[in-house]
Amino acid sequence: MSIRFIHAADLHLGSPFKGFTGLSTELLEAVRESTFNAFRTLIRHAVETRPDFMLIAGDIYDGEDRSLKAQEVFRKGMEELASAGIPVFMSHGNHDHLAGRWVRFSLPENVRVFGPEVGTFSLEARGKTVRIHGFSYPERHVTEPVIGDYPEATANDGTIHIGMLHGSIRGDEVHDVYAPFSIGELLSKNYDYWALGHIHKRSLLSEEPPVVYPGNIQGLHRNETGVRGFYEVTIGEGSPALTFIPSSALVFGRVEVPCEGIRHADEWISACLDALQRFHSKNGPGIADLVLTGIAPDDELFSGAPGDEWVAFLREAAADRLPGIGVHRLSFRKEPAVDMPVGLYRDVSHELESWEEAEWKELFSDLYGHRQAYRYVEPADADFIEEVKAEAERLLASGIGKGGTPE
Amino acid sequence: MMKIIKLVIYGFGKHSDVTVSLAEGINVLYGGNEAGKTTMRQFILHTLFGFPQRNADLLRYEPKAGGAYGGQLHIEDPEFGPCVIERVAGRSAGEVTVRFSDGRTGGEEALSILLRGHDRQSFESIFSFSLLQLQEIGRMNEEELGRALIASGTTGADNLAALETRMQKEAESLFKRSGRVPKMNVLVAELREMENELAQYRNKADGYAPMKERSAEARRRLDEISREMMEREERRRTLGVLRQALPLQSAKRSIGEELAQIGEAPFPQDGIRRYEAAKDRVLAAKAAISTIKERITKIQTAMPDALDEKRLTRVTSVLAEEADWHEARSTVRRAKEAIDDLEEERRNLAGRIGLGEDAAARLSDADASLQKEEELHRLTGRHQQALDKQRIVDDRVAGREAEAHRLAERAEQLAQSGPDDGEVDLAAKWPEIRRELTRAEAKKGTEQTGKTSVFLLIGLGALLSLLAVFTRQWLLLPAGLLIVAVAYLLRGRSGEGGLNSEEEKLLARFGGREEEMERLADRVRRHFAELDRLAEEEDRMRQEVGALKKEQAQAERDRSAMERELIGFVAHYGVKGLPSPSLVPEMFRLIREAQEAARRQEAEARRLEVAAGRMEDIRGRIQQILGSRVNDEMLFSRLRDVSDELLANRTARVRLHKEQDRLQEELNEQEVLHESLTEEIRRLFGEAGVEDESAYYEAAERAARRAELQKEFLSVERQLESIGGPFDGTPDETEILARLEQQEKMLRALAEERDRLMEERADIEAQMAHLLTDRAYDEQLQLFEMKKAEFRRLAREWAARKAAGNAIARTVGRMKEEKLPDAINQASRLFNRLTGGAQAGLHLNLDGRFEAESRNGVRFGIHELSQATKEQAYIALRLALAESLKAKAPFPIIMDDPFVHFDRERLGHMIELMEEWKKDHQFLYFTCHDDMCTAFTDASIIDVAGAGSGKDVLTR
Repeated sequence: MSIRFIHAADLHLGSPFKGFTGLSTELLEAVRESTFNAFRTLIRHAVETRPDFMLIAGDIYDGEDRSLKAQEVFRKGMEELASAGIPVFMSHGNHDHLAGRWVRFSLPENVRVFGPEVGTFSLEARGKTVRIHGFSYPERHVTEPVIGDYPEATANDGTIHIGMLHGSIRGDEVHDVYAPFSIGELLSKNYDYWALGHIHKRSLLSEEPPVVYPGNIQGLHRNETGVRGFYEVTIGEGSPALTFIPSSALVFGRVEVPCEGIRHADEWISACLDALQRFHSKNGPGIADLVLTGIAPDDELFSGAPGDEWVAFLREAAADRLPGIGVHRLSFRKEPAVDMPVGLYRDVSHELESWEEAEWKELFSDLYGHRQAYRYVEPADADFIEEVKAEAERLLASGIGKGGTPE
Repeated sequence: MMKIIKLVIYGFGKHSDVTVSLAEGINVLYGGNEAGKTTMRQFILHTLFGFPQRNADLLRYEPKAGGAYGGQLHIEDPEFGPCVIERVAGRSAGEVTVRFSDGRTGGEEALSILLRGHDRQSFESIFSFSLLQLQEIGRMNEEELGRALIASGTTGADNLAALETRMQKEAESLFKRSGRVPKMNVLVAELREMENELAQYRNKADGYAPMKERSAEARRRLDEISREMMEREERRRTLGVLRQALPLQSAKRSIGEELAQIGEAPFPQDGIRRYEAAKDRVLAAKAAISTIKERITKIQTAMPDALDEKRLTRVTSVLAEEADWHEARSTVRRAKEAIDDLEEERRNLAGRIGLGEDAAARLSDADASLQKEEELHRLTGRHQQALDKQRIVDDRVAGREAEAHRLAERAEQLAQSGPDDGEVDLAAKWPEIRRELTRAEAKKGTEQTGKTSVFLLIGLGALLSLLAVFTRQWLLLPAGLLIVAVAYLLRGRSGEGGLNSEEEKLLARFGGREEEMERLADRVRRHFAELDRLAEEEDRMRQEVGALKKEQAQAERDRSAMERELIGFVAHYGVKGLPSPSLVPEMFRLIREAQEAARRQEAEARRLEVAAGRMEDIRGRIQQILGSRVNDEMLFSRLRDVSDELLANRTARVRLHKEQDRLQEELNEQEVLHESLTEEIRRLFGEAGVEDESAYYEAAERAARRAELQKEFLSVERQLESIGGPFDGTPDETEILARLEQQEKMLRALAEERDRLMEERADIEAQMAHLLTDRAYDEQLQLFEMKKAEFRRLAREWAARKAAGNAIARTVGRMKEEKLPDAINQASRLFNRLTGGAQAGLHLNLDGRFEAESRNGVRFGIHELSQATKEQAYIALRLALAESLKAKAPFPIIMDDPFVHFDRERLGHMIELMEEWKKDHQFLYFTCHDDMCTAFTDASIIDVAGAGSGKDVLTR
């Protein structure tokens, strides 16, 4: 007999959405409920399909931002699972580490929480012994590898071994390093399944045995696009079977609106609404970044008003027709003008390109060194610098490109 | 050196359909105000660099009256030769076509090449400038001026400084390090505020755990209170009970005292009744004992003697033989009868066999075995055979004799009926005759005849033989055969010799009679043969008879011998004479029956003897018992009387013994009973602690009183118990009342505390529930995040502007270092020259600012110079750059009345310079001052107003 279980991670219950501005009241409501709704979807799915157990690989709450309501919702969910007789194995991650001094709700008997050291829980499921190994973050930062503490399993000992690990792959520069590991280290443990957490983007690091980041159950940042959810896993006999179950209540995405040949605002609105409608049919409620492509270099429609006004205009139109869809921002993609950067613009542009990171940081020092403001800025990383650079070039191009002095 | 040869304006601003031809060197384009000088200058720039965007700051100069827009520039390029640049309406920048002299055409790319990659800004900053642009310098502060000079001196656009400034301003409108008003500063403040609010929310949430604890604590305390109240309540109730119990307690005390007075007062349970009952039973036992003793004495007197057991045994055993007795008697009777019957039967059987008395007596010894019977049967059989044989032989003798006799008669008859002698004779001779005859016939020649006769002869023989057979004339048979034989012989011999007389005679006599002759011969022959055969037969018969006679005698002998033997055999059984064979088996059966009867007779006799002996034995024993002779019939009835009497005695004795034993037992029981009762009375006395009956009754009274008191005591105790007793050391009533009051006071206090706690707890629970369901925090958090996102968006914009401004500044800075020194030197010389040596030169100080050095070596900041001198410095820089770029960018220099502030001397220097440079540069000088038309020695003068009228083009 094979065992079937659910693997979820990074619930971030009650976590606010980050990086969004200008959401309507209705959307704010939807946004606030989205993590809870995604969690309810998870619980409902478990209660309906009765898996042998559930794994939650860390980051149930969002650290100090956790609300009592979030904890109450989680506790209730666990109690539902308890009544359905579904055991839960969970670990705490960097966001809900054990050192936090927040209120802790007592959880029902069916929930077993890993301690700060790597430990093992056993259970019997469908005549098989399942051993689950894992640990909880004792504090906010675990930068040293923990993978070495996991016991090595004997291959084919008739027991199913599952590792739960909240952390990132060694050498992943994009994310902060948490409990780093390499895929080779995971595979050397001879486990039947690795239930990972921490990385919000769903990915399958290995097929057999499966090494899986299920991603978060609800996108929380405008960069966390696409449908989110969790995995239903069947292992034991034959090849492992992984089924992705969508749970996100709101989906973030980028919607391109081709604007070739559009001359009037009403044409543009209708093109945008059609594109948003398609996004809605595909993903359900969500928040979209609109990218207007194919704008002629000598465009006069969009140049006629500031971007903010266009956004406001579109939001107003979308609120009536598509209440479930929020418009986060508009990007205008102008076709490159025929005249190449020459003269002064070229020189300035070269100057911009030549700056090293230190020079950029020096440039930002006013803001980033500000005693209050520094707390709210985003990290001045390569992405940020790239974005700033692009915007600066746009400013220069339009400023210098206009040329001449008014007379 | 690039030259503009001709402007062809299709429609541009106020100009339409205008052609302006330009010369090498200096061109002065003169016109009054609003003549269209600037328009024309802009036409050149627009045509070269494109019509401005519609939203740009620059005018597009589209003809108000409509019609064609744009025009052509005819140029002469040192590298590409003559070209025509045409720009007409199309895209917002217009459609451009470049026609080269070799017929090639191109678009923007070709134009870009033609313009050496210069854009409008860089072109304007060096090659095209107006008074306005120069005048602006006056408003610039020192730094800006310096930058503008450097910017224009390097790549041209003096609005680069403006852009940098704009960027700087925009950035500052977004964020200032120490500002309050910029958007981001505002946002920071708001974010801080929100963070504080969030912290408050979190603090409230942090209160959840203590609240929870407090709630649990309250709950525990409530439980405690509840328990304590129950205890107190119980105690209060107990005290009430104690109050109730007070009278009972005193009753209990007085009963206790009396009981103590009475003391132990031992008395057996149910003592009086038990004593009196025992006393009654002692008396009864005594009476019973005397009665039983009397009865035992009576029985002893009535007891019969002991029984003579041997006699009884004898009687009984004989009685047991009564059946035998009767059996024996009937056996005797039956045996006698049987013997008589068998005697009779034996006699009968003997009679049937025919034997006398003696024989009959012997018969029983005769051997009547099956062997003997078999032997007799054999003898009888053989006798019968002998008889049969004799009879057969007799029959055969008689048969043979009769046959012989018949044969003799036959021979007689035959002899009498035979042929006569002649015939016999002839027949005897016939063979000879026939032979002769045959030969004769043969001779006669015909063989056949011979043969025929032979055949005839054979037929005759055969006929004869047949006749002999049929007629039984056996003599004819040989004759026949003979004839045949002869005939056969004749056949062999015929055919020989010839006929002689004899033969003829013979033929005559016998010829044709051969057949008849043959028949006759045959008949004779057969007759004689038959006679011979009969005689022979008769002889044989006679011989056979003789032999049979001998055999007959032998048979006779045998038969008589067998008869004798048989007679001898039966004689053994007393039978006389020859028995008939059929009687032999019957005889044996009878003999056997007789023998059987005799045997059974003997058996009966033996049985009779046995039975009679048995009878005698029994009779003897009975008579011995009875002691007298009694006849057989009465024997057993008498014996039974004796037996009955004996048995009756024995039964009576047994019964009396039993009775006696029973009485004895009863007596013992009564005595034991008596003893035990006496003992019991003693014990009762002992228990009561007394010696006699009267003391016993007194003790009984005491005990009864004690029991009564104890009952009362128990009842009081039970009552106390029922209300919660026993109460040891019961306090008195006043103390009880005091305690009751105290309990009630404490209960009231507890109830108060309980109510207060419950209220508090409900309050906390409500707060907790609120915290659990409160969405304000989530909402605030989301709003905070949104504001943060907004802040970050602005931060990006700020950073971009910061970067743009910085990039400009740094580019300019870089340019300063790379290109400036040459241009500065040149500008310095030109400045010196233009000021007529009043200014020694231009320098860049360490701060990156221009300074003018006066003739006497004093240095001034640009802003310290007079307006005209400032403008001269500016022009000097531009011209210096144009000169330095002569090889790379050999463009015409287009000026829009920049010299108005110059005095005559300095204007002269300027004109002088232009005159000097006109070989290497084409100048387009727009002016509204007519004196400028004559200022140059060799200049082409163009009336712009005239050109604007479209009538003609002014040329010198």
